[in-house]
Amino acid sequence: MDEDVLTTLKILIIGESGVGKSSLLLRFTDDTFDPELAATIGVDFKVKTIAVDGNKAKLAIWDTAGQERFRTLTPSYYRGAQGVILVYDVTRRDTFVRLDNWLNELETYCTRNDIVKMLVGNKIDKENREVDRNEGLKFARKHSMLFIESSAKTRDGVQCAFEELVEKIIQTPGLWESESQNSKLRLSDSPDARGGGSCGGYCSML
Amino acid sequence: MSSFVAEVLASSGKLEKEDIGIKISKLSRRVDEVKGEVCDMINKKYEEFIPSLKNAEDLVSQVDGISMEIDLLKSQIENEVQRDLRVAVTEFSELKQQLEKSTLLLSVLRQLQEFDTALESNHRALLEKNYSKAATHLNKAQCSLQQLKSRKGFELKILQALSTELIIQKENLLYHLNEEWRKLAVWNLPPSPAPTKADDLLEWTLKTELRLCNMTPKKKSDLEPLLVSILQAFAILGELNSKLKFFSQKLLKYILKPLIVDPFLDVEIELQTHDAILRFSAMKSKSNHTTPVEVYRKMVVVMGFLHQHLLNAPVGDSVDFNPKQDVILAEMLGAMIWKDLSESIIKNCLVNSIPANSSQLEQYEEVIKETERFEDKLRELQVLNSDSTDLLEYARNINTHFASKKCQDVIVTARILMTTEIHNTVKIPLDSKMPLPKLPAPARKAKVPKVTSPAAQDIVSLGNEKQLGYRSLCLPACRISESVQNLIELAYQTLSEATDATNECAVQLFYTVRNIFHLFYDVVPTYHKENLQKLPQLAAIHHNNCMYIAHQLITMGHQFRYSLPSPLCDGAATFVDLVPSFRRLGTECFLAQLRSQRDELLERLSNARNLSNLDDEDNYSAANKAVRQVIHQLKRLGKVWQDVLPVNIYCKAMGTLLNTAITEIVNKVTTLEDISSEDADRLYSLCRTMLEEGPQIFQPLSDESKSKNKKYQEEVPVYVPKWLKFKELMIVLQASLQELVDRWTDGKGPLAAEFSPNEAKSLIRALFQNTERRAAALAKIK
Repeated sequence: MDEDVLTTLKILIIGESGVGKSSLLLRFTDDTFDPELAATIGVDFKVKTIAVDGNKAKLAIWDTAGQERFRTLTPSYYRGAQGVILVYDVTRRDTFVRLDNWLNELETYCTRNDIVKMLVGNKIDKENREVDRNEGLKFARKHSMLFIESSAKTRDGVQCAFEELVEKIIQTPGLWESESQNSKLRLSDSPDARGGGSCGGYCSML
Repeated sequence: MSSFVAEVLASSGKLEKEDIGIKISKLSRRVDEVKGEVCDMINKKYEEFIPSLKNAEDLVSQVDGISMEIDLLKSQIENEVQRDLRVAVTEFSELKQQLEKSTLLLSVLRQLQEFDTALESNHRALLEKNYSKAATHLNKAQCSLQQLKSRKGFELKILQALSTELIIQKENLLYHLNEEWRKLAVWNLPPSPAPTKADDLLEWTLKTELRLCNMTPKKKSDLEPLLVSILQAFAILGELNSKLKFFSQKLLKYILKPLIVDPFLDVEIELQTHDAILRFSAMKSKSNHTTPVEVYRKMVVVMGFLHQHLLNAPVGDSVDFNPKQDVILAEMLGAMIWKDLSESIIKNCLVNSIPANSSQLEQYEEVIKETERFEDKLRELQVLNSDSTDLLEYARNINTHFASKKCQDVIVTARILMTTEIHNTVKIPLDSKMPLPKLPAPARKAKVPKVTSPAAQDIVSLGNEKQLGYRSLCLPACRISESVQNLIELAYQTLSEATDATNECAVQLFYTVRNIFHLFYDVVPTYHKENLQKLPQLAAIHHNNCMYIAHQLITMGHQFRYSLPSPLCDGAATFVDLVPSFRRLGTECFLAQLRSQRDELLERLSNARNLSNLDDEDNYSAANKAVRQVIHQLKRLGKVWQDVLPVNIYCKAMGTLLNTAITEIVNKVTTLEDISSEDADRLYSLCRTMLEEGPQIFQPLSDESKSKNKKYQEEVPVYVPKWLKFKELMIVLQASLQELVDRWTDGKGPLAAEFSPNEAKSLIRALFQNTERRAAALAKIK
C-alpha cells in the first residue's frame, strides 16, 4: 500500500510551551481536540499520509516539547527535516517575540539550508488576541516563511497549514528527490557519539 | 891529524908553520895554570869540609838519645797520675749520694711529721666540732701525702697505710658533716609512692616540709656558727657543689615545682627558737592554672626563707688558700636551679597566662611588670646573676607567643572539626550568606571603586542584553557537614582577629588559616577514607563540603585586605589558588563513588543471564530479580542523596546511573538472536517495570515537596540519554511488522532516530520468523 507514495517527508513542529503544537498535530492526524492536553515530555511522533495535487506523501511528524527544560533533547530531531512548522499563540505576545530564538535554533541545528518553514499563529478562536495577523504576516515575509493562522480547537487552518507546507516542499527542487544522496552526506551527530553510560559527562556544580 | 896538517901545509906553506909554533906555546902555558887551580881545589875540600860534617853528625845522634829519654819519662808520668785521679772521683761521688739520701730522708720524715700533725689537729678540731679547721688540716694532710707519693721510685709501705688512714679520716669527717647537715636541713617528705588520685595528691603534697636548724647553740663561744663551719668544710673538701646540687634538686622537686604547678598550694614559714620551718598550706584558687603573680610571690617567699636562714653564710672568706672558692652560696644555688626553675615557670605558668584572644592582650602588660619585679627581687637575693632575664624576655615576647598559641589553638580546633562525623549536616539554602565578623573601616585606600548599582546597570547595559541571572554565581542549595560550616566560621574569625593583631602576628594568623585548608585537603580524605568509599551519602556530603569550601575560598580574604599588613594587603591575602584543588577533591571523591555504584549495577545485571530464553522460568526469575535489584539500588541511592546533593548534581548522578542500567539492558536485548513471542512479552514486562519505576528514583527534594519532585521525574529523558531508545525498544518488542516499518518511516521515524539500520534489522530478525513479509520489511530498512 506504500507503493503509490511519492516520498516520505520529515516535518518538525517547534515553538514555545503551550502554544498548541501537540493540539495542531492531534487535530491533523487524529482529528481530535483535548483542551486539557498535558505538556509534551521529550518528543512525540506521528505518521500520516497526505495527498497534495495528486501526489501522495508520507509525513513523519515530530512534535517537540516546548518547555525549556526539555530543550536539550530537541537538537537531534532537527536532522534531516525537510519542513518545519513554527507555532506561536496569538493571545500571548511573548510567544511571538521569542520566535527569533526559535529561528536561531533552527538555523543552528538544521542540516540543510532550503528547509521549508511555515509560521502558524494558533488559537485564533480565542478573544484576547495580542498579535495582529499583519504582524505575523510581516514577520513571516521578513524571514521568507509561509504563514497561516489557525485554531486546533475549531479546525481552522490546520489541514491547510500542513498541505501548503508539503506542497511547497514538493515544489522545491532537490529538497526531496536527492534525499538518498543527502543522507550519505549528513553530519555525524548520532546520539551514540556522546559518551553513553559513563560518568564522563558529570561536571561540578559551580 | 897528520893528513890535516899535511893538507894545511900543502895549501898554506911555510907561514902557517910559524903560527902553530906560537899557539903551542900559549897552550902549554895554559895547562900549567889549570894544574895549579886543581891542586888548590883538592886541598880545600879535604882539609876544611869533611871534619865539620863529622861534627854535625855526632850532634844529631846525641839529640835523638835525649828525646827518647823524654818520651819515656812522659809515659811513665801519665800512667801513674791517671790511676790516682779515677780513685778520687769515685770517692767524691759516693760521698755526694750519701748526702742526697740523707736530705731526702729528712724531708720525707718532715712530711710524714706534717701529715701526722695535720691528722692529729684534724682529729682535735673534729672533736671540737670545728669542722672547717678539721677540713683545712685534712686538706693539708692530703697535700703532704700527695707530695710523698709524687716521688719516684719511692715505695714505702707506710704510704699505703697513710693514704688509707687519710681516706678514713676524710670519710669520717664527711660522715660527721653529713650528719650535721642532715640535722641542719631536715626534709620531711611524704611517703614515696605518690597517690594517683588528684584529690589525694594535694593532701600528699601538703606533708612536705623543710626545716632549717641554723640557730647554732652557742656551746662554745669562740667557735664560728656551726652552719658556716659545715658549709666551709664542705667547700674545702670540694663536696659543696654536689651537696648543694642535691639540695637544689630536692628543693626544685618538692617545693618549687609543686608551687608552680599547683594553684591550691601556698607556703608558710614558722620560726621556732632554733628552727625555721617551711611548709605548704592549702589555699583557694579560682582557676586550675597558677597565675604568674601568685607564683612569683611564692617563689620570693621560698627564696627569702632560704636566703635568710641558709644562703647568706660566707663560705670561702676564711679559706685563704683557694680564692676561687670565694663564692656566694646563693649564687651557686641560683646557678643550679635557675635554668630548671625558669623553664618550669614558663612551661607551667606563663604559657597558661598567655591570653587566648587579642582583647586580653593589653592586660598582659601587668604580667610583664610583675615578671620584671620578680627577677629584680631574685637579683637582690643574689640568686640570679645580673645578666639573666629569661623570664622577662619570654614575657616581653608576648606577641609571638600569643600568635603561636592562637595559631596552635586554631589548628587544633580545625583538626577536631575535621575529624568529627561528616553526617551531621546543615542545610545551606540558596541565598546563604556567611555572617562576616564586623570589620574595622578600612583606614587606607578608603575610596574603593564603587560597585555600580543595579539602577546604573540599566543605563550602562553594554552589548549583550542577556544578563547573568541573579543567582548565577550562587552555591546551589545543598547539605554540608556542620563541622565544615564551623570550619569556615573559624577561618573568618581567625582572619578578622588577624586584622586587630600586630603585623607579624597577623601574617602568622593568616597563614594559619591557609594551613587549615591545607590540613583539610590532606586530613579529611585520609581520615574518613573508608566511610567515603563505603557510604554514598557521606561521599555526597563530602563532595558538597569541598564545593562549599571552594565557593567560600573564591571570595575569602578580600574583605580583610585593607586591614592586613604588607604583603597581604598588596593582594596576597587570597585563597583563590586553593579553589581548583578543593573542587577536584570533591569531584574525585564523588566520581569514585559513582563508579563503584555503576560497577555494582552492572554486576547485578550480569546475573540476568543475558536476558535470553526468558520463557524458561529460572531465567525469567533471575532476570526479574536482577532488574528489581537494580531498581532497589537506585531507589536507595535516590533516597540517601535526596535533599543532600544540589538538585542538578542529583539528577545528573542518578540519570547517569539509570542510563548505565538501561543501556546495558538495551544492548543485551539487541544482541539476542532469537526472541520468541513469549520472550518478547516477558522482556516487555521487565522493561515496563523499569519504565514505571525508573523515574521514581528521581527524588532530589525532601518528602514534603513530593509534588515538586514530579517535575524531575518527568525530565528523565533529559538526564538519561538512552531513555527514548529504551522506550523505543519497548515499542519494538510489542510492535507488528507494519508498525515497525511505520516507525522507521524511511529512516525519518523514531525507530531510525534511536537504532541503526543494522540494529533494527537484527531486532526484526530475532522477533519475526523468516517470511516474505519480513523480507519486505527488512528491505525497507536501510
